[in-house]
Amino acid sequence: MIIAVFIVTMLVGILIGLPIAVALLFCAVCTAMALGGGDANPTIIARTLMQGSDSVTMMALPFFVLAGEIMNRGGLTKRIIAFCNIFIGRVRGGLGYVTILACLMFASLVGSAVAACAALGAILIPMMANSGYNREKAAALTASANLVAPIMPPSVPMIVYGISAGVSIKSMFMGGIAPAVYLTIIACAVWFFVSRKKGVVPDTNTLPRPTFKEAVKIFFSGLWALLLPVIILLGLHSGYFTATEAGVIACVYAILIGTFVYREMKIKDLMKAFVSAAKMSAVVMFLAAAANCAAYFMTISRIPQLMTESLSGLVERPTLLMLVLMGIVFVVGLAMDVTPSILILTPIMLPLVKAAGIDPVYFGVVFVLMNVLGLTSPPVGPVLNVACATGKVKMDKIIMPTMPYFIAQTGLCLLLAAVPPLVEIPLKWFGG
Amino acid sequence: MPKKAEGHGSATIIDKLFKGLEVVIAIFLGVMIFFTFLNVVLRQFGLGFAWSEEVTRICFIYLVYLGSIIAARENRHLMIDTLLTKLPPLGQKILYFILQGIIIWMMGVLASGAIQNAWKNRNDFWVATHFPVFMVHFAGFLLGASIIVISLVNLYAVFFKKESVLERFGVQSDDEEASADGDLGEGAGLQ
Amino acid sequence: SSTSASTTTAAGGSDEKEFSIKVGDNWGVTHPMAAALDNVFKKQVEEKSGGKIKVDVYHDGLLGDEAALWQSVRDGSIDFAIVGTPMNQEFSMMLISDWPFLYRDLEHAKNVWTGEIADEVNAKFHEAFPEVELLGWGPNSARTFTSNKKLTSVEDFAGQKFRMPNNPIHIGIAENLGASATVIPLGELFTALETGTVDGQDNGMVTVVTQNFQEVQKYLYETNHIVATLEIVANSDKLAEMSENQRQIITDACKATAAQAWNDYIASVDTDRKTLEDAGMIVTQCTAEDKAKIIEKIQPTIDKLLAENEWAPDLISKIEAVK
Ligand code: NA
Ligand code: NA
Repeated sequence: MIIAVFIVTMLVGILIGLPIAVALLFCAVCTAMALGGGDANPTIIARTLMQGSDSVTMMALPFFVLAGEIMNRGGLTKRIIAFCNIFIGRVRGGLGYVTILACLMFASLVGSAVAACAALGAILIPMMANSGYNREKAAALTASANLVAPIMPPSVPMIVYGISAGVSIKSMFMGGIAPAVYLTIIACAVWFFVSRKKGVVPDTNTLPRPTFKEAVKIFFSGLWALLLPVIILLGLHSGYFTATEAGVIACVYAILIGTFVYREMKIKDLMKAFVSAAKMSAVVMFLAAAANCAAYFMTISRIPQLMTESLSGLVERPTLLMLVLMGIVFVVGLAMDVTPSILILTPIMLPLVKAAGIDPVYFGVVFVLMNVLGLTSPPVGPVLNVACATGKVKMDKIIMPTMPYFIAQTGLCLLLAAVPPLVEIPLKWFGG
Repeated sequence: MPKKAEGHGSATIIDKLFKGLEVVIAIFLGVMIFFTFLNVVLRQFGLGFAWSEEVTRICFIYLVYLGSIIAARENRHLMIDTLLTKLPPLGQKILYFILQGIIIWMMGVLASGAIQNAWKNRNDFWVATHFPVFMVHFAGFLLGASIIVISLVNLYAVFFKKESVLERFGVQSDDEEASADGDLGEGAGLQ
Repeated sequence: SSTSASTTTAAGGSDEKEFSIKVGDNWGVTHPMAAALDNVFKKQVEEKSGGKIKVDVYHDGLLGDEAALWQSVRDGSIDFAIVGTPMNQEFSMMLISDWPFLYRDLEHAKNVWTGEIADEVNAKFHEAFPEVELLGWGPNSARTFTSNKKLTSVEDFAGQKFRMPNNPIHIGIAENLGASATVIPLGELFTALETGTVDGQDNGMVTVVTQNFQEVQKYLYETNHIVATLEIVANSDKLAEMSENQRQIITDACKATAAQAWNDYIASVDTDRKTLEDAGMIVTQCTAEDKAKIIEKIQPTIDKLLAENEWAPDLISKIEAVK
């Protein structure tokens, strides 16, 4: 009965269009009323909300969001694209590979696919379209290739999962490196076949080849931006700073490069970046805090136990359990954004995962990947929206060209769910 | 928010207030970065101070709570608005009334709980900075009360000034910052 | 539903209400205090009340961290909580829980907090917080220092970086010993130790084992500089709803829980030490001379504590008088 109240109010709240954070509070308050007595005390709502936002570890989030903002405004983004172009701009569909490589490099700087797609899409999609590439195919490629952003460290969803699950964020970051490489290979493979077809890319390359001197200049200019992921990974690895502090290092470095090396960062831009990052962080943190509130009532109405009991038959068969859980995430991901989905599903799934003896870091990596795939799946695909907006493509025209990537990526995710060593062995190499 | 300003003399003052609030939360973010960075640097020299952690926590809490007020006014909180956009105008009005009603209810619960927590902890202080715990919980009251006001203004605009629901709903789209410089708009940076 | 109360009269003529009470702690079941909640408190209360009182224990901070548990038990949203001293700013006498070098040994600590002094402090506590009652003092643990750098004598502290909890007593001790104190949340501590963000930390061996710090730490110095306690606090209104007999069952169970936890804890020290040594840690006992040296060094912190807390000299001498 109580459980029904919890689930129904949450779903109804979200589907009728309440802000998801308010829908979570709504579900918490209704559950509290159904429980009655001391559980219905409004102080619980206020306290669990406060507790959810008072987190030192969660501060990594505004820091990495800000770092991404600064990189866009400080000229780091376009230098990375130029950098990639000097290597693989010349082959058939070369700009497509430039896109994929730029997405991977940009991914090692920002933690969000929407942010990455907005930044890169605005430059890459028009660039491809103006060079004679099919605009819809170019937008679909850009959207799909940017899914690597929250998988390659740093990653906002990995931070959110790490905190919900009580797992080391550093381990989560290191666990994302191999899947990021897999995603890149898949994007290249799909693009290889897509670009073979007639009319997708021009038969002759239209871009001017940079002279050797220009290439050297672009190379070193881009190197400054690419030093940042090296600093972050080495710093985390050698213990100069924690994951939270790495976000601050990224901000400080991006400000310094944008201001003194590229000289594109103005005080006004910096202020805008701070305001924008602060507002975005408030949105996601309010959501996280509301999820903490709902999680409290989920705990005292024993929903995780129920989930554990109903799927307990699968505890002896971890592979099947992984696949079932990923199926649930897939369905939820059709309609829901990454952050709320992680916040809601983690406390429900984790007890089961632990009971089955599955490593929570490994689970987290696959789980985050499956959540991220929801960003390009219709009906609600935020990255598709951004790619359409920045590429000036109609929403219904991008869905089909995205499908080959989406199907291949989903296949990858299920493969990782079935074959843990694909994640766990590289994770060991990186010291996770 | 130019559209909102039409017809209100006071709207510009409110707009300025919110612009000021934006600057305040940006400063909080700056303070968080400053102290966290300082902590990394000082640690290399075997130095450090305990209160820096509390200062960053205080800033973070206020950033979240004040920022959530701004986001509520700009309609930036993440949601699934498919149903609302598919309904006919009358249906939209009814649904909008229900949505704002639930928001007011939830924020009322939050505000009353938060003010009780604040009052109960009026004699408590954080260890290192001696920051009053009352002020921490008070942020919850501020958030609840402010969003109630915002929702009431929304209802007034739709039911008395005959503004359309979608116009009210899509406030973020006329954010003057969403220009060609690659600004990400609602929810970017989160996924 | 926590407060489902019914006034049905049982066959035996007892008109006691039925209760379902929520108990929250912030520890894993491997901690003696958490284990005693399951094995003693829950069992004893449910049995002796003839099933009239049902106990739900939530471990691992499921109902919130220490500060949240303390708030919850005050406003009655949970009925019992196991907390350290989140209330020390409002009721300074609770600082006694973190007082450095207070006891001769663990047996002494157990005798103090299962004896009359506990009742005395409990009464003062209830005066300060009428909405709650303090019903038992169990062990948290005796804190020891661990480090990646050599830590086998008092001199080794100089220049090392320690993660300390954000509490003036703990930070004062680290600084007096010549180390630097950094505040890092417990959740990030394993990674911080692994990567060398800090050299070491201070916690009881039971915590070191639970958090697997032996995987990332080489040395353990058994200073036992603070023997911290955990208190069982209960919401007064909930107790008032119960019959005299039910209250007695609860108070007895709290005492039994604390006593069992002390015994289990004292017995666990040797097991935990062996676990850590087997994992390759170099464990150094703190000799009497070492202890004297440390006390001499941390005298500034002790003096400051004495100056700020006028209740302290009296209470400390009473504690010292306990056999
Ligand atoms: Na990334
Ligand atoms: Na989707």
